[in-house]
Amino acid sequence: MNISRRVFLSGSASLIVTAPMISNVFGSSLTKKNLVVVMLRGGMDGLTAVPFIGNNILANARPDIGVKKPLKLTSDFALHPQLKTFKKLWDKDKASIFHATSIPYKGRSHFEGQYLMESGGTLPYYDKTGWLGRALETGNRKSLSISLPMPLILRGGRDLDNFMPSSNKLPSDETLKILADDYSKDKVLSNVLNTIRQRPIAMMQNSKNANQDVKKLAKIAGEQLAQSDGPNIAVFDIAGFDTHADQGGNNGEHAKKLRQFDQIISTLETEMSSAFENTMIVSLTEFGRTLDQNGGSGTEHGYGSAILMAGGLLHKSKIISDWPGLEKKNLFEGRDLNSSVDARAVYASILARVLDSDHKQIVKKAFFGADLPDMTNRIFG
Amino acid sequence: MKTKAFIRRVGFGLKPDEPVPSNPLDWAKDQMTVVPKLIWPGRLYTENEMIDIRIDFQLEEDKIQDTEKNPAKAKLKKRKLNRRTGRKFFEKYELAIRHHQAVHGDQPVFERFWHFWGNHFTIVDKNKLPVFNTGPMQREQLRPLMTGNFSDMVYNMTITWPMIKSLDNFKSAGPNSETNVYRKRKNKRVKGLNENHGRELLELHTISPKAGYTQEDVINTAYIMTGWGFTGWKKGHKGDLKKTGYEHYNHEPGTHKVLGKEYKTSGFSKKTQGKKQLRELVNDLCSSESCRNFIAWKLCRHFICDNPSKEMIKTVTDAWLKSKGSLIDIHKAVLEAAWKYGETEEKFLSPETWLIQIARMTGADWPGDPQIFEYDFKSKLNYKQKKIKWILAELGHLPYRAKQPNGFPDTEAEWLSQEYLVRRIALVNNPTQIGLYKNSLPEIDISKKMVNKNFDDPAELLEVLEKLEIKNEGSNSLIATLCSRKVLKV
Repeated sequence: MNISRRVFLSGSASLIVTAPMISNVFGSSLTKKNLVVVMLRGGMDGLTAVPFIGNNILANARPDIGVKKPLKLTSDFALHPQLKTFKKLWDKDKASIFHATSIPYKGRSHFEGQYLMESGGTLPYYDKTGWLGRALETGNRKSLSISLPMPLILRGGRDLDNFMPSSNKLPSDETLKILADDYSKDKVLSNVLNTIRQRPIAMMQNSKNANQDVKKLAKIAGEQLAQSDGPNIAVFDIAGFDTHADQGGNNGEHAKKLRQFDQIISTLETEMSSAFENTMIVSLTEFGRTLDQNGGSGTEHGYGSAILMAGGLLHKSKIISDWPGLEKKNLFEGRDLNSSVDARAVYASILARVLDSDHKQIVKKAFFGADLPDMTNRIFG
Repeated sequence: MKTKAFIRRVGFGLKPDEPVPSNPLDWAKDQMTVVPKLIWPGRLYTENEMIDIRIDFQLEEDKIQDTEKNPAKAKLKKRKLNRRTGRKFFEKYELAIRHHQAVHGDQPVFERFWHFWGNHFTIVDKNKLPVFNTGPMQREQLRPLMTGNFSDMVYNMTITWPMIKSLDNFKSAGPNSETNVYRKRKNKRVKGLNENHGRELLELHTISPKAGYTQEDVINTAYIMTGWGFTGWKKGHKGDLKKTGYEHYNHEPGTHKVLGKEYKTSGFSKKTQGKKQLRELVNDLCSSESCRNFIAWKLCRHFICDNPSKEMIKTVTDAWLKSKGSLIDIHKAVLEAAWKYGETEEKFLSPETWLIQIARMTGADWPGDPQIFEYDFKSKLNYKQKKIKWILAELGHLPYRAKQPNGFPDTEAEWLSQEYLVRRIALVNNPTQIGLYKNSLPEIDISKKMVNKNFDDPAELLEVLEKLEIKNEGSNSLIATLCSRKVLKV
């Protein structure tokens, strides 16, 4: 149980002083389920993370950056060797892959693409809130982003917080109160400061060796998610997937970043112990990359990629895909892995499961009522 | 706008002893016509020297990696190398030069624009670029370009050493270039096209996706840019090459069409055709309406408010058209638009701008006496030398370390979060870190002086300070003012 330093923020913006021990906000009938979204910025290459081994097309297209000796999953697909924990979970029916999928954006610009993967809309820089935030705008759900900014994906949600360990110390609450008075007419600033003032003690302490080691960050998130009154949504942000050069195969930039993703999963699994059974971890990226390697042993911006899913809420490990194939005629614009399913349909179905909500309601709130098929059976069946 | 708010909006506020300008708009505009000299009294390492140091570092590091198999010994050797080549020193040194100029210089508005353009032409945090190259490049190349023409700025920034490295163009070659014709004949693997730099030239540096270009336009821009890279490679050469330039044998020959216009080669020799094509393309991009609108919007967003109005943008694009892209005129128009339309707007300051403002307005000893940044290239760096980088990292805004080529964001939604705010408050909670020492003026006096000097209507903040004084809580006065809403948002 988290001990809040002084106050507990209820669903509304008003402050209610409560006893330090807080009862389970989710009630007794429902188990607290958790969703962890890991944003992989820069264009994660689905063909590096989950290479197609059903024929030689991929290997031939990437003589320098092909993944050697990948971990075999099925006769057609394998896994990057750095995704070790993911493979362990796959073997326990706790990991799946949705392949050849993308958000409905074909423009190949990172910044438009990243905006849309977070906003959930179709017009870059248009919606000011994110799909996850909108899905959470009602109900007693808390979110924690492990990042310095509040990412767009969570904006619009109610009980938001973000965190990174820091080595400087906040002043006393009496001092913060002076600022709270000063901010009182500014809704945004007040909300931000109020959340800070009622953070659990674990998040109030400065940490001397604060750094951005992904395992340490995942540990903090895991501890918070495992609390019955802690957040049930966490967001991570990993940049560096834009490998126009030196993408590498088994080693190299993509491999390093996939390893970080895998470390998040392994740390959460350890840290959350039994709560991991009610948890789902999903990846999110703006686009995939070209089939062919380019001039610098890298790949260019593409379209279709893969969604990696892990956690106790899954019942059967599988590759879910309407696989379009890698033959030139099947590639998007003759160069990229195509997308056969709108990635938002995958996220909507996962949200519905984690939030115990109706699929249609989720699609309406999170994705503006877009025409998204229900994938619940394909993912959880 | 009101005088003092304007000075904080477009500059860094007033120093404790700085006179209040009688005509703030002219005061600001006059700063744009001449590039101010850097007032840093210490040594300014040239961009070329820094490339040399970088190459020296890299070759030695590779050597240690290849030859020293004992991990403990390798670690020692690397540490020695780090110190000899200033690997941990130079970024802090460059940050100190930048902040010294902004806090103590007398053309703060110019410095704000310098920071803006540095971020516009972001050099990504990779390949040790922030360690050795980004700062010197911004000082030596970008600064002097700020009183010229926008298209000259874009052209020169496109071919600068760190940009070529940052966006990979040195790895690009046309499919029908001499290089690849030769390679195909010899059955060697061809050197592919790299679209990265071409795309960002269109998307980030000039016209933005609103211009409606296609993948074909991106590829053709990349074709035009082929050949631009590092030059002077000779057999046996190791490490980075020192110079950027145009090598015709990597260039994709023929006519390339971008946004409906054909960039021809006729009339130019083989050795220069790619050069001419790039220059012509940059000129066309920079004289397009999409470019004017995009850059004017971005400038207004930085200096006025998150959602600039049509009138603001038009003030800038009109000046742009009339002056054919003169940056002096464009900058002055931004200031005019801020003066004319800024009164009712508010801008949430980025962490670095806020830090510089509070240092300048309080007269803090920031970033510290330049003498403390003298380094013998032997010792471990001390706390005073290290803290500028550490503090900027803590605030989430190390200016040479943007992770993506679109640079740091520029809106309240991006910069205001729980964790960002925690870090600002926690920093001021320990004011010696920013050079406000216990033995200088009492905190309450520093705060009062700052408020009186920098606010058109100081009553509200002074009232807070008086209350603190009565309660004998003067030590809270810095947080109460420097983290107040009116200092965070101008």
